[in-house]
Amino acid sequence: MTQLKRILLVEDSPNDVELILTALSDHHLANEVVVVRDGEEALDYMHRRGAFKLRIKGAPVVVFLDLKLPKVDGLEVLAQLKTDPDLRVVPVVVLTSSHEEPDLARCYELGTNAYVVKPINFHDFVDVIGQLGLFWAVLNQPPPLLGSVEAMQSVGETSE
Amino acid sequence: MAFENESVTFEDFLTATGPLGQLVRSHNWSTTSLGAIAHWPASLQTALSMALTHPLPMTIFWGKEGLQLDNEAYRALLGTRHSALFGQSAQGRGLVEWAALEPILQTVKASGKATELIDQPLFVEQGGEPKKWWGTVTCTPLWADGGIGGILVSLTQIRDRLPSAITDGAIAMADRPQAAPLEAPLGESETLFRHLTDTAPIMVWMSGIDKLCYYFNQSWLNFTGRSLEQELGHGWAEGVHPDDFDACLASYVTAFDARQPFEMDYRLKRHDGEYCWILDIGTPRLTPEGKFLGYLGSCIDITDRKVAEAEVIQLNQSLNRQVQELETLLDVIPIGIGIAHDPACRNIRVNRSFAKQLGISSQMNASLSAPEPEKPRFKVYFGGKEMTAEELPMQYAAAHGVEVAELEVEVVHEDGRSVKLLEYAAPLFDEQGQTIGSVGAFLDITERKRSEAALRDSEARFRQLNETLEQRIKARTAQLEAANRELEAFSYSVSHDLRAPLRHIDGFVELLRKRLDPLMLDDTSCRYLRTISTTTRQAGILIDDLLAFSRMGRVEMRCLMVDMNQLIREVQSEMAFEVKERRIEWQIDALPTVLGDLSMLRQVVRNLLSNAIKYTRLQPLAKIAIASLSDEHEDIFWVRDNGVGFNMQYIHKLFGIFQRLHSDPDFEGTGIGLANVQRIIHRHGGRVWAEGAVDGGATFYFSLPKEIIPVGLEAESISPSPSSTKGTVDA
Repeated sequence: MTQLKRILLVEDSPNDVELILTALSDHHLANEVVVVRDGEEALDYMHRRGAFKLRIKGAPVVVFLDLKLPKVDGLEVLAQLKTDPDLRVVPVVVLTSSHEEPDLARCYELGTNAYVVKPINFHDFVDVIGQLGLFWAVLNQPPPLLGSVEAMQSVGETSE
Repeated sequence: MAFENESVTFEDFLTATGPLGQLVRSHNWSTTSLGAIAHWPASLQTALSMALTHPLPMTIFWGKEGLQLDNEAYRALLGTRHSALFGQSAQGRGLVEWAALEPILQTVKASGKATELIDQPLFVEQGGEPKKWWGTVTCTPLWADGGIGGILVSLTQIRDRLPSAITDGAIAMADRPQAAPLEAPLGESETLFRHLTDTAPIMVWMSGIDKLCYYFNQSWLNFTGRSLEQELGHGWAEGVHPDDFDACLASYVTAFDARQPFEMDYRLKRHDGEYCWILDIGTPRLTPEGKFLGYLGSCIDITDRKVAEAEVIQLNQSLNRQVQELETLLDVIPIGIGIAHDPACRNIRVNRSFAKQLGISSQMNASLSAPEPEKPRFKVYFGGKEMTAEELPMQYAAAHGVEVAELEVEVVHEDGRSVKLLEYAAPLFDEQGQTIGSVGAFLDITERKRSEAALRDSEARFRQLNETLEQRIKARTAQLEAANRELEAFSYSVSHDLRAPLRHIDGFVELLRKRLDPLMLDDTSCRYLRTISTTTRQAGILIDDLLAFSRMGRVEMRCLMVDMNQLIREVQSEMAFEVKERRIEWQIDALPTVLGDLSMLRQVVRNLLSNAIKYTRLQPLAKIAIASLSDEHEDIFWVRDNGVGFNMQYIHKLFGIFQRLHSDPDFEGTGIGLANVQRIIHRHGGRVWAEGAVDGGATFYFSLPKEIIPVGLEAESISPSPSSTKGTVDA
């Protein structure tokens, strides 16, 4: 199992995308990061449809999901993923600016696997993103079906 | 001894009284006018019972038919004819020829006086043989129901031949008192007189010229229950009631001396000891020649009449009293009363209240049906329409014979004043059921109507006010809810959108620094970059504090029992890293457990402790004390430090949002912490205050009530107070 696991980053702010990618690379994490800019794209990607109809099969090892998103917001994306019989096993980390308690509660109700607030201080930010990347893309054992290319492909197929 | 004995009846008496009594008892009277024995008049019962036990021959003719009832002696003389005559209308030849007897009976009936026929032929049967005898026939009327019900016929002086001379005059006579002068014997008439008086129901006495009584008839003796000997002379006077004695004697003596008839009543003791009222009528006895012989008195028992008279007097008195009471009542009762004693109600008499209600004098005729000069001047309206006299309740009740109830009318007086009356009327009837007038009762409900109207009025106003108030509350609530929603949306945006750019600034400044050659960067450039980072971080903290403050005002409180000792230990350990370089002497008393929202109270403790730590930074040994005081209503906590303190002059700014009393960069802060403390404590229904002096330390107090009535989402502004524009973010 040499292939690096793919990360899906759902983030509308190009600044945040750049900072996150920088932070990941600072931690020498070379995993493929697929970036989508809104909730609709995120769902299209996960279901291999629309612009992502022809993408490589298989589900990402983790989804970094912002809450404030154009078109379909983060909570809705989370809800759809966690109610889909095939996709609900995919780990989702909510990565947001918000400290708001209702958001926190709602995300856990919908089944998020983690909830992380982006720190303002860049050093802290780099640290947090690095740890997340390390944990979810390297340390954490994904669900069995996500462990092989075949499995990933089958997940991608069944979700169509 | 009393004579009432209801267990023995007249019929029992008849049964027990010889064959004739049984004959009377068994005879069928129901076909005659007499009817059943039990209903026979008392006088018939009395006369018959006397006759049946009397040795002299007697018979009674009773009722319109003249039904004949003989006694044993009479039957013996009638012989075989008896069975044909008994219980039948008298006719033909009885003992006395009917043709001779009948006119006498008619005379007795007409005059009511006893009459006698001396030496009448009597047709007797003896040993089956008819014989002609002679005797005196006495006819005495028997009274019943205020008239003559029948006639008692008794036979005396019976003999088989006509008498040649009458000599025996003193058969039943007592010896005359020695003092009394001897009178010439009266012979036959005296005997007759005795017979009469002895069989008469009235009581009779006689006195001589010496005023002493020498004769009392059987009725008298029966009444007093005394013997003739006891009564003679003045003996009778012993039975006179002591209270009546003098008057009785005086009347008698006075009349006697004047030879005048007298009439008096007095109480006389009856055989059973009861005193009965007696009417005694005395008349002087004179010989045909006018010679005074003494007095003849006849007495009747008038107790019943006396009692009845007394009752009548008493009844009258009580009636008078009741009438007076009624009149007084009518005068004082605050209800108008009217009475009319004619079916057209042309004259209505009123009581005082009614006169007042009508605005007339109480002597006036209150009837609007009265003829013109008498007719009063007020007018009566019903439902705004003037009523005719015929429509008025008393007139209506009298005319239609029905009651009128709860009629509400308005009476307008001659002078224009008006009263509202609630009227009731009822007709009055005579014994034949004809209306003879009516009575009316009238309640003045002017005041009641007025207060009802006032009540209705104020109720309506109150309702209106309530509605307005409710509408205003609704509107205000809606406004508040809208404001709250906006505020939430605002905070949400701030939380997301304001923090992101700060993060970006910080991030890119760092990236920039990395790309620049550290050797190329002069000190000033380095400081600029550092300042950008620091400021950005400060702005981030400010945003977080502000959001927390806003949230404290909005989130729902969940009150639990909170152990303040434990809470303080937890907050201390959170801050352990912050204070590891510091020398701090903590003095924490045993604290009570309070009712409150744990996370909010944690925020309070955190803010106060971090303030205390912050402002004691310059002290070589910081002293922070935490203590409490409790009473039945609340717990008061305080946090005291020996830090830089503050000037009490600015105490009013201490708890305001964005208010800072220190511009010293050593004491950086956002000016939100204490505002948040105040907001949380207020939401718990408690108070916050502080004491301090410049360089003299500070003490912050807060109280928590033992019963929390959570203060709702009050419109406490998160905007800075007007005086706070300067030096807010001053660190």
